[in-house]
Amino acid sequence: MPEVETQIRAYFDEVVERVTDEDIRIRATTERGIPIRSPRFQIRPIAAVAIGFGIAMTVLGGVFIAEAWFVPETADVAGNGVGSSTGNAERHSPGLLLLLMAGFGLLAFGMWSVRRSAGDVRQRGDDDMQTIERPETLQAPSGELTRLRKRNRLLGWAVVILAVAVMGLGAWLISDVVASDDLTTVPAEVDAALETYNAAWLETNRAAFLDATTEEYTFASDQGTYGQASQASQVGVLAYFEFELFERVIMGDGNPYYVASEQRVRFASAGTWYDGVSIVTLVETDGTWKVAQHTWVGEVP
Amino acid sequence: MRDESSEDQAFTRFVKEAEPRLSHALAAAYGPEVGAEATADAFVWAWEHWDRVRDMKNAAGYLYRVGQSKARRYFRPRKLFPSAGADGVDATLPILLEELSKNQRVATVLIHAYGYTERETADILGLSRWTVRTHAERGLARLQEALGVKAHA
Repeated sequence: MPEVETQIRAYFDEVVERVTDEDIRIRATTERGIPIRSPRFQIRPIAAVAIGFGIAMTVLGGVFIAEAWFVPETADVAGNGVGSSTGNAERHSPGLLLLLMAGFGLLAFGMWSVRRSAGDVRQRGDDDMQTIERPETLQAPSGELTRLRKRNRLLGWAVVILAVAVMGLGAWLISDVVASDDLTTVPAEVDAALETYNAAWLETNRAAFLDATTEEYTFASDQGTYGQASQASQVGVLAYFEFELFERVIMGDGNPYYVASEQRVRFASAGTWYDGVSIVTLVETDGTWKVAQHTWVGEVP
Repeated sequence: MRDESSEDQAFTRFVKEAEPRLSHALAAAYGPEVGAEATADAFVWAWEHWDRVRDMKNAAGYLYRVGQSKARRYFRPRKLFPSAGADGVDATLPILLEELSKNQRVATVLIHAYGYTERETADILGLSRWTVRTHAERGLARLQEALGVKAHA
């Protein structure tokens, strides 16, 4: 067997198709055949449009559904603060689901079309490689070669622009939804007022309680409704009282704020935990946020 | 102002000079089928941009990179290197070539099979001479080892 170097040279001399300047001129001046690309890059205009619109509709549908389900409707809450944010999803979901389904449908059609294109590519020639030029389109070069035919990249640019536009729209919508989440957070001063109020309960601090509530403050539960002075005396004598806060939902914004918290409350006299929801109404009076109403909905000792 | 016939002749000279190295380099990198198309595409690009290419110091190296871009447009065959019936060529050589890295193949083919210098090969690949030497030595050693083992089996 000859040297490896000789074998490599003999092999490449046999398999490599050399290119002459004449070949180059013919290729440069003839109508090009369809370049044989990897099937994943072969996309028809209809597929590009379907995929673009499908992505847009899917993103829009998904964002709107997410918004309807997860962003609470703040205007629902009545004066007593009892309300639910899940009603929005029930109202809007059918139309949004249709939008989402249409988006999926368009996406599926686009992908099917792309796959069909890929199948066409495979059927046109061998699995491994295809003829690059279509012989019938070859023309002899004519005259001096001064200008060359440029490839049409319009479709490629259209797809890129469409994709950028869709991504931009999606990002804008998502940022819009994220920004709207600010409704679920309270301003720092409102949060501080709420903390002070809760601390007054936990520390059985009557003075702090009076300071954190308005003169018109009321506490309502199944056992009755109590005014500020009455409740303050109750808070001040609690020998043992504790509560755990779970999920907190801002049910209204502006003035007043309605804040609902899931709570577990335990009194020394009862010894067991009681589950319920506290709805606290905060108002701004003379530049200071205070608790105007506290409604306890749940178990009582 | 340059006249068009002299530009035509200059391009022809350029093709004659650069084509062998580029053809073999791209064939070694992407297989003979895709390599031939990529070479032709690269030279068409050179013809389209002859005003720029004409004055380049390392036009062949630049066109190799153009060829690399063009090669990505083609559907790669499952077997980069087809079987060949050339006399004195081991039947497993195409398989062994495919097992080398792309740069090892190009360096080995250009330097050891066609006698290009390390500098010429480095210009094509855009690598240093030392790197090219390492690629070529390792590529050749792997081929020799594989073919030698087979010859003595």
